[in-house]
Amino acid sequence: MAFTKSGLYVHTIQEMMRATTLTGGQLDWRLATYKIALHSSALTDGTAPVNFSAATTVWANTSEVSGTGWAAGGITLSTAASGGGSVTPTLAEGTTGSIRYNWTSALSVANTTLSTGGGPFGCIIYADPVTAPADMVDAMLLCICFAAAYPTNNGTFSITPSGTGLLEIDITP
Amino acid sequence: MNAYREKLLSVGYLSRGRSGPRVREGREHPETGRPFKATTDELGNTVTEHDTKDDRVDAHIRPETVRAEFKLGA
Repeated sequence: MAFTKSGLYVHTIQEMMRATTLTGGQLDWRLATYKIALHSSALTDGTAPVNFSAATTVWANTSEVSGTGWAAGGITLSTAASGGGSVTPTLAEGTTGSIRYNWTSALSVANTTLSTGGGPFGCIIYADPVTAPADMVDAMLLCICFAAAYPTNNGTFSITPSGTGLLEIDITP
Repeated sequence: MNAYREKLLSVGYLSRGRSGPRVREGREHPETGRPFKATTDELGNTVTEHDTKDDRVDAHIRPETVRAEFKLGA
């Protein structure tokens, strides 16, 4: 059964709060050098890389979807952009009392053929530059489950954030 | 009158129920463009099929905001 949940990774948040030193740069959600990878419905809840409570947060290419126009391992946010620009991630207060992760524009990649495993069923944004420590290599930040498969054929694959962004974390009582 | 031709030349909007997929059919350009069919599902995501030689299919995802919360309290 396909995975059903979007979410954050406990180990990533834990290591951010511990200020663990990372090779490749500290985690900065605003970086466009981070990658977005697509995954198929073959992933199941609780298994890597959608195991949100695991003691390691290393992105895994299990059931990855890649193909024409979308390289294996995912593509950097800076190379996936509508109109040839760059998807710039932002982090700021959104809804009052909440931290919002968002993009300044829609992600859009033309001329893709993405049909592996039935097509993209979800995506994972991960910190590609991080190379150490071992439990934080390619640290995963956010998983978004589309809840259905959306294959493309010689066409455009795009993701447009909603008006309230891709993620909001309510930190107020 | 060729009903199929009329359908291809028009831009229509068909609703398949309150919660079902919404289908929009038409041409990329009213007179010269190729026919397309855009289906938006209950999740708000749209798949567009183009009547092209390469059978182009686009996918447009509009994910809901992922919401997390730090539960604070005494």
